[in-house]
Amino acid sequence: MSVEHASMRIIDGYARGGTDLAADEMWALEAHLEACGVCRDRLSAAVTAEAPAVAALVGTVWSGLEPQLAVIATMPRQRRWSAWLSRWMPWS
Amino acid sequence: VRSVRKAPRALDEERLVRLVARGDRAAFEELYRRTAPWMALRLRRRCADEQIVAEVMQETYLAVWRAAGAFAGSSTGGTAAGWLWTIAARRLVDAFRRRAHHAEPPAAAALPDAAPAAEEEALATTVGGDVGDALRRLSPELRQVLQAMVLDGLSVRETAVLLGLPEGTVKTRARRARIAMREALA
Repeated sequence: MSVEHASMRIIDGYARGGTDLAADEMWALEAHLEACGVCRDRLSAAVTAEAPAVAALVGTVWSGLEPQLAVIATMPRQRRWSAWLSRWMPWS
Repeated sequence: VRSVRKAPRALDEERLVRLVARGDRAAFEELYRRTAPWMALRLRRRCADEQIVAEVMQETYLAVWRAAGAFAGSSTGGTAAGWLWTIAARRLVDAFRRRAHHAEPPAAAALPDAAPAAEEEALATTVGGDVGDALRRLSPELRQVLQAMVLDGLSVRETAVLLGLPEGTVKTRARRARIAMREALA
């Protein structure tokens, strides 16, 4: 499936906060980004290159997120797994 | 950290979410890496408070980690990013609601939309030509309501919370926005 992608001008403008984009450009881009991984990747690159505040936010949120991952969803799974493991491999 | 079995780049986000549903940490990390900058920008467009944006992102991705199976199990053909945004938009509304209980309501930037009519469904996917012109001519307060309801898929009540408006005002503006769009496209 061939898709029309957003222009670099619009991607860059959005990464910088979108204030210099027209309302319909913004709308079209946001609708497009929901469906297009290629343009999301291009947007990520634009954020890295020209939106340090956003990149920092993404990093900060990940730092807060990471320690919680082990505690939350994985836990029951791991408990079951390690119980199974210790039954079969008592030395582990 | 073990690596995703197949080269992560070769996997689309839908596949990543399915791996996350099985507790795959590396897939989750990859999903975050690919979608978080987009998510951050889209939330910042709708909420001027950086603290709330960070909080909403954290809650959203924790929900994804916890409940990826809910998406993985659905075969309705939506994109993983669309699913992520649905979660984020609701968490944002919840955050606004919580703040409203405490003190000053947070500064909304611009919010999305509500009930899809035919012309709105077109809006949610592509915007160009006449539709673009019509959108551009719409007054900001009508466009804001339309955006919250159509693009972000929020209800009247959620839109009211997000924009800090009475529900009646949201309804009136949504109606006026629809009429304006219909006339512009006639």
